[in-house]
Amino acid sequence: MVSARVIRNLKKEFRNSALAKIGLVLVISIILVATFAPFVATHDPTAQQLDQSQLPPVGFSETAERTSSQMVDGEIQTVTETVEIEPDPDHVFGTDSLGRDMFSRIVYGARTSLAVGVLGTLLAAAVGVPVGLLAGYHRGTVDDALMRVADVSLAFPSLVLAVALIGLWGRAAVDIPDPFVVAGLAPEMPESFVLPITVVIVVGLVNWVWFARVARGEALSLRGQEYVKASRALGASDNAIILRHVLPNAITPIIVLGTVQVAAIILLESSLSFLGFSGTTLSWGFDIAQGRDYVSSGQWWISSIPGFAIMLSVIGINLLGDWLRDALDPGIEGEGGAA
Amino acid sequence: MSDTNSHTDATVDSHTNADPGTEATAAGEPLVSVEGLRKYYANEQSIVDRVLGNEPESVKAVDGVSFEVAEGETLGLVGESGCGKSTTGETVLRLREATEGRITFDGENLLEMSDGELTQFRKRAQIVFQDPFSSLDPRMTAGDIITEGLKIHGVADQAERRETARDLLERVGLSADQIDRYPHEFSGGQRQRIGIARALALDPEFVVLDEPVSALDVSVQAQILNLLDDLQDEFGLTYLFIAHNLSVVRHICDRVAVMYLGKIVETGPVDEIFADPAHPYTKALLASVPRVSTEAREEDFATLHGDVPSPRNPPTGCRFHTRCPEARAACRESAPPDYAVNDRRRAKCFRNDADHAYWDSEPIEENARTAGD
Amino acid sequence: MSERLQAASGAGRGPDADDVLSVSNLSTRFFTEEGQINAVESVSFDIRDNEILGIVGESGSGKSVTSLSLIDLVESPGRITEGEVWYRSPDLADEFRSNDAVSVDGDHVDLRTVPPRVRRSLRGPSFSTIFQDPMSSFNPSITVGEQIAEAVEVQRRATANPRSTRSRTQGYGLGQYLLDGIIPGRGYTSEESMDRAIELLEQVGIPDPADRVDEYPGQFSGGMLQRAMIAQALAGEPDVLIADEPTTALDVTIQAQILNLLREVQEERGMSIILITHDLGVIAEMCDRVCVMYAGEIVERGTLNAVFDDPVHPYTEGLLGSIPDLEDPKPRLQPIAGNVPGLLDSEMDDRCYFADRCPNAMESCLEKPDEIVVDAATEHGAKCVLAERPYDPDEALPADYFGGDSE
Repeated sequence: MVSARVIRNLKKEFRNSALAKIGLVLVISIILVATFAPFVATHDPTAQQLDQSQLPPVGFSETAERTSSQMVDGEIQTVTETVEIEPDPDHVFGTDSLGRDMFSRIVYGARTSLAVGVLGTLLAAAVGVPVGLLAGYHRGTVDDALMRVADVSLAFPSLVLAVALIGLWGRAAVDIPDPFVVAGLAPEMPESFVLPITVVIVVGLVNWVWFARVARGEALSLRGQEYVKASRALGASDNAIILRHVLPNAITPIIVLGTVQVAAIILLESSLSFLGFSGTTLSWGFDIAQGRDYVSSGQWWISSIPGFAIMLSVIGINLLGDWLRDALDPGIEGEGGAA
Repeated sequence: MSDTNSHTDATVDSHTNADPGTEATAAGEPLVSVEGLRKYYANEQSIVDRVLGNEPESVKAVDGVSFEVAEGETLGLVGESGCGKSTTGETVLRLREATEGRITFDGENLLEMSDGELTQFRKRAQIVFQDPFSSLDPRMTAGDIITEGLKIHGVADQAERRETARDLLERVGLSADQIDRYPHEFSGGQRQRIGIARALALDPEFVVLDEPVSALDVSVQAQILNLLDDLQDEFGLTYLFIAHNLSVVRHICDRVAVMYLGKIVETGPVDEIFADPAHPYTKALLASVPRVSTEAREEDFATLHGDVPSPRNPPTGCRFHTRCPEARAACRESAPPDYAVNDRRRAKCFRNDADHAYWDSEPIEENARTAGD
Repeated sequence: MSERLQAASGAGRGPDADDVLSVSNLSTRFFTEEGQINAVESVSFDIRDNEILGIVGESGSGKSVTSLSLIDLVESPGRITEGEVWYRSPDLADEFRSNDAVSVDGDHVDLRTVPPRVRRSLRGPSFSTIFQDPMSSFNPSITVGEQIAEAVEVQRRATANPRSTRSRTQGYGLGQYLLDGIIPGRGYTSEESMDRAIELLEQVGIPDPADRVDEYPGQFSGGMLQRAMIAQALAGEPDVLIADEPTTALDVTIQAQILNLLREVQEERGMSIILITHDLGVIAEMCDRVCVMYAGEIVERGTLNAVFDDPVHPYTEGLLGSIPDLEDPKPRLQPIAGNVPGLLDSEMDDRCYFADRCPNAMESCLEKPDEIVVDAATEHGAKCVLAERPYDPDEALPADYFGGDSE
């Protein structure tokens, strides 16, 4: 399915585009960080060290007002003094209000974001693509029904829909044992990774419509192609035609949509966590939410750093999507006219 | 409409009973026979229309077409765009469902076939399309494309299929080494050869050629025409050749059926029809073709005026009367039946009936005629 | 006459007095990512008063790019890299005679040297073009009448101010545009030009033109729209009408109507037409003289009779042999083997470009042939050694010289 030409185009576009390079570097870094989180993280991201709470990131110092009671001349006085809080090189990104290492939290948060993003997208595609292809290929009542459902879902804000569904189903989460920790390679890290399964299902069900629409549009145009007619003339069944001719030729826009959806779902997951609807406490969105109260008192990093992580990963994935779109699209469509 | 059908029955009779010495029957018994075929398209209806119960407006793409193709012959189906020739070709293969009519293939009624029978039929009848770019799946190699039919029908194993593909590539004038190349690596003419090889892979008896050369450059067009000629001899194929190019039809066909607005207006052996057309439309078509000869220069074309009317709302009576130079009042009132010109030829024009009221009716004023013609 | 042919083939020259347009050594290249494409290669020809010149070739022969090059409409990554386009215009010649940057020869001006604004102003009043696809040549959201009237308006301004060619297209400025936008109901065109549009539509044979001016392109059939495009082209009263595959998208009965119309229009107005097509039949019916193009070059030229009845170049012969004859169905066609070449500069050897498909390729074909005069009286010339000497089997290239089976 991936011809030499596709690879050639991918390489060419990659060489010509600095943005594609940035995107790829970002995405690969995030994948590596998420996969090898136990080795990248410097601390257990859930371990609380209250005596080291609210340390600023390395390179920044923080002034805080500390009030203490002191015995001065036999009287107890309340003294307010301004204390300089120096960053601890052991916590590069500082710590949060409970003294958890921000760097390690970001590293583990990447796992959640990526897992929810990828699994949610796969689920959305698994539902949306077959429905869209069948509707577009067969047209008629199925198609009409699908399009009405799609219109309604698109008219409904996805976040509201997701919140409603989670409210309905609860916040289930699955504990997946971390193989590295189980194997004893990183003993001090959490033993399992918490996958917020409800969130995955919900974001998948909220976003399948996008895949259905794109797949339907492709199927609609591909069904008129003469090679589809030729295949019917050869005696192929409709399902065989959809699998052999329609899906492979519709895959390019679906892949491109997929990358965009991963980014969109990461954002959606963060929003859900921020609102407290996630099943895990190791998430960028969750950290933003818990850091929100401290922004006004000067502890900006607790919510800014995870915000920055979300931004970088979304930008990276979108750049990757742009690259795929540029590289895959003209390869198929532009060939005909040029010769 | 029943009137048209009774006459088409006469066509069938006249062919089967014809003198065995004539060209039409020399080729053998009819392999494909089409009677009173209709294909109407309902317009896309909006949901509002459906709720209100509005009648869908229908386009009569094919409106009562009858013809037969004898084994081993090439029947040309010729007409201008929108006349329904391609729809006819696809309906004959049941790639589109007919609205009405009867299609028999080798004595079996195609429209009543079960799924299993239809699958068997698919092995025996194939199609080659016009557009060499959209007719090949860009994601499949030449070999996969050619062997698709074999795979669907479970014929032969992987290695044998590949061998067949190599043979066929050679046979259609490509190199067997090109088996793993993708369509975009071929030129238009070469792609058309692959399309032909795909159609031949199942060793069919009947092939519908839907404008197989109109998208090609002239020099390549001639290569493909020669190839089709050779393959017909070698594989004993029967062709239904759909085209708008009369020179090509003249070159490759034994008999020809001329279509206008969903109806066949004239049928017969190609030599006779081209030498002496019996329908004014055929005559006009022939006169419109620019000749590749320096003698014809400076002669004005004897052209038809006006455009082809919309098949949504075809003219009453003879559908050609709005453009026909010979049209009279009678043509507006009733549709001419299928007259026998001789035992091989039929034409739907009153001028073939010396006693018809047509001859006494008034010529139609040419007020709709456009200036400049 | 023999000078004529020499001139046409590009050897030391100046345009003749009755050449409306004289093209010399015109080359257009496209600079794509795959490499340089030589779409038009050193093409020379002239168009005289009151004639129809045919340019025939297959896809990729460069015939359409040639026409675009004439009116300077080649788009990036394409560029005219070389050549002269001499246009006969005493006004322009006088205007630029003292200008050193502009080449002037008698009444002729080399359009390649005049400022781009002047070149642009000639489109419409001097050159008009009809394209293959009438549907995409009209703006679907503006009425046909208005689009023709616009062309009339351009012509009006040109004639109202004939001396200053440069101001022609500048009558409609930003201020006017804003005014038109603010005052509703007032189109870009005046009443008179709309009347002229109706007149033009009538001339090209559109029934009820007064009603149809207000219709949109979508309401016209293909044939009617092609007529409307001709009307639009005539609005500028051009000297040269360039018709690029004007009937390819049309049915044969409609094609005949349009060809008749073109012929009438040409005779009535005494203008010159360049007819570009792949259809040899159309050429045979319409043209006085023919140029046959292959791989960006004109490989054979001459009067219609000379080229069609006594072709010298094996490509012309092959083309003619590829066409089934309506009157006499030959048992077998004589096609040209192989495929039309790509025009990638890096893949083009310095030889006769047709040699790899030529049944009569000889060793001398490995050198690029010059245009050779076959018969000066009929202006017959061909870029082929066979114009000078007969085919010699002893010199024939081995069959697999070009990598054998090109299929």
